Amino acid sequence: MNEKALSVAYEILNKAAAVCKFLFFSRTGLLLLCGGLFCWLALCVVFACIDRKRACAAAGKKFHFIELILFFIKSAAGKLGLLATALPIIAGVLIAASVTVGAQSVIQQFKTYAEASQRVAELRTVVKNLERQTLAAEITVTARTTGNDGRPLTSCSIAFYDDSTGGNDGQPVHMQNIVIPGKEIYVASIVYNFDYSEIAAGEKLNLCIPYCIHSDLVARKNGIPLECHNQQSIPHWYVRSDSDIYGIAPDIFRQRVKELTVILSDTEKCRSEGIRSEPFGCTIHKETAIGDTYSLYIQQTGGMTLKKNSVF
Amino acid sequence: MKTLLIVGLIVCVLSLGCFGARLLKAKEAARLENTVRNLQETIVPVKFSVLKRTDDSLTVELHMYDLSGREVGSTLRTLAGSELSVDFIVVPFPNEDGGLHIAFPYRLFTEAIAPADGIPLVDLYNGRDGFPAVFENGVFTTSFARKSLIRVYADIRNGVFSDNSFGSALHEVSRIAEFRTGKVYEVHVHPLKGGMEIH
Repeated sequence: MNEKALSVAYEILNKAAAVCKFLFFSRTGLLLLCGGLFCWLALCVVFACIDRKRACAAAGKKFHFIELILFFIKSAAGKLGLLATALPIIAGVLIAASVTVGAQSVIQQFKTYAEASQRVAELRTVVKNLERQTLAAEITVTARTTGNDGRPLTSCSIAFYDDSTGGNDGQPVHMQNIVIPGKEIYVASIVYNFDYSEIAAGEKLNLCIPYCIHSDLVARKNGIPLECHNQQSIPHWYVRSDSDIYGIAPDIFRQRVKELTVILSDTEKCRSEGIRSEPFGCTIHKETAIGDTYSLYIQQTGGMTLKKNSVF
Repeated sequence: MKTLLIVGLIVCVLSLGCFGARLLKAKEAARLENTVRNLQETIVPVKFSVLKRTDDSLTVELHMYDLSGREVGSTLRTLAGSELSVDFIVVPFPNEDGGLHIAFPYRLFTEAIAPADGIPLVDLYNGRDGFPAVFENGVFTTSFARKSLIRVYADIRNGVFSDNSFGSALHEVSRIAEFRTGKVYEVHVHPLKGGMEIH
């Protein structure tokens, strides 16, 4: 109930502050106020002149132009004098308006700070949730043939896993098949080093997002993009089941992970959001043989490892 | 009977010799493992600087250092492309199961150059008796340690890689962050954690 009352009071304060800001602290508002005052003054003086002229006419006197001017000046001075007596009230209104605007601004700043702190705390928890070693994918060399140009062609099947399905104990959440010239497979990734980051809270953290696969014979710019994001644009291996998320509500976790992956892809945005990271690329590579399966792990310390799976 | 006794004696002596040799080797291996564990937490084998960039090429100066920080090799190259990659071969050492990793500078390439066409670095630090000079002046002082490292280095130079070794290339991603021209970057290798970073 108290919270509701506070919320209503804050809304009223917001609206009052908006009106005060417009009237007393904006050019349009001040022009409107001055215009209104001028109109009131002009109307008062004009009506006074008309009344005076009528009174003169009723008395059978002629109301001369010079008299009109003098009466006009006298009326205007009288009204200005009336205004001067109302100066304390005007000052009071101005002070009240300033206090309203100031109070609203301070409360707003506190709210923004509290929201930013909560957001940073949530991002910090998100990074803590993400920083453990995770199986991202399994790459199986399914065939090796020779291309028309005589170069070896390697066919690979890439199975992506997300943590909510239990890594390699579960089923892959996405499969990608590729054929690429060469024998050595290169997996390129971007590593975000949060060494000095606000969200790392003084600890060294790295997040790693693989983005393309190429080979010893294929340059990175001609590589094959990895289909490693789910429909919500979150890398598969950063998807967690509700029971695996700690210290943060699952919905907020997912929302913040998505936000983090968007922010991380833009250095300028990183800076503007107060998140400092030192991104660099890291590509791991290994010569492969037909039938071999390699597990691609995202490491807790950042970066990746590619481990050959063995039967035992 | 006498012959049998002599044969038995010889077998005993040989067995003892083999057991002793195995024990000695195990002891040497354990010492070597301790040696690697004594490596600094962070090694800086490579520093580089992008001297010049054009729309389709970059000029890079790269220096290699031993464990005491003494320069052991350098190269100045212009490469086609805009994203420099400094490639290393990471080898579990002293054995396949070891959680310790040592990194050998291997080659330079870019996003526009296929790695196989890159510039090899591996011969630039070939030291005395084939010892990799980037590991000189540090903890690899025993004969066993040096021989082990010479063997691994020779394999890498010959393109022979063990099952547990892998390549790791650090590079820039121009859409996010590129190396600033003129700034000297250091490659930090963490043998204990097995990671590498650019600073």
